[in-house]
Amino acid sequence: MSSPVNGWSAASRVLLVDADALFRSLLKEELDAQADLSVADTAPSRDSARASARSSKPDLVIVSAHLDERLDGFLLCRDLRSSPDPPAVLVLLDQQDPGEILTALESGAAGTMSREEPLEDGLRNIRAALRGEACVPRRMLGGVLGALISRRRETDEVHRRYARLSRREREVLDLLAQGHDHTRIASVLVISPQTARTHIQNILEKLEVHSRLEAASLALEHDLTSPAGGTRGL
Amino acid sequence: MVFELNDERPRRTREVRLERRADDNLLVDGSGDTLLLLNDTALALWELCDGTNTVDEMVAAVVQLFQADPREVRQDVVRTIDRLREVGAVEIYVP
Repeated sequence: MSSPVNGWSAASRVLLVDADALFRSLLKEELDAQADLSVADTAPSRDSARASARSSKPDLVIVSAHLDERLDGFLLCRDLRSSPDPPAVLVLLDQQDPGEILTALESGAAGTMSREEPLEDGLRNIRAALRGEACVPRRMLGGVLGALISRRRETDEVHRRYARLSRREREVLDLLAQGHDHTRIASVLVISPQTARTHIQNILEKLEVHSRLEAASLALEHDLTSPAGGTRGL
Repeated sequence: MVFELNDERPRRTREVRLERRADDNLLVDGSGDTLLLLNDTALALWELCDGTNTVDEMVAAVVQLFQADPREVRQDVVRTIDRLREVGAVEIYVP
């Protein structure tokens, strides 16, 4: 079933990304029935979607937040939005949730759609995203702003704790975030393993976390890096 | 001038409640009289008036979400909360 494309005005090309084949097929049928939209391709996973986006060059990608057990949809959104000449992206949620809407916006999405909403609402969001407009559901604005305030408070608090770390401790944290253990850290920084352990213990206390893993996650999540180091290229 | 202290946190009063009629958001008092009609942004600010969020935090969040001019946003937010306070819908709480 192909879309009717006007001779003088091509329909906007959409890529659909969802793990459920039946859902992809149903949504494709609905979108292809719109004169101004045409589904260029569908994909079930992050990897296949990235390949498809490179070849089909869609104007808009609709990506399910939960492609599998992890939140692959948000990562895919970041991938797509950091590509040259990026398509607009809408994240498809099971239901509108302020925290997930905020995560979608922070991942570069124009907005979200929900499986619970009527198709008309989804179409309105699709067309707004294609016009380059941000689309936050009206009734969710307060919740999204509230989630944003909470997240900023959390980040400020983490940065306040990070400011307590000495320069050496920040270097150690960089290496922890890269997945190194205390012997490797000692070797890289040319210090004794016992000194590396002491630095790690001090880091855990100052960041108010209980394990090296927790410290490493905090560093990655809040982009805590020392000027000389650089923990990641996520 | 209100809201000069960063610690001021607007808080909804018990006397005023929100009613949704079709697409309209109305603030009504105890006897059911309409006090204010809220647009989407004013409704969002009303929802944020829970006594924990400061005006500065509200301004920063709106600026970040809409990538808007901070001075204009501050004026709009302060004007909206001032209006909510005038009709008795919020009070200013200082912890």
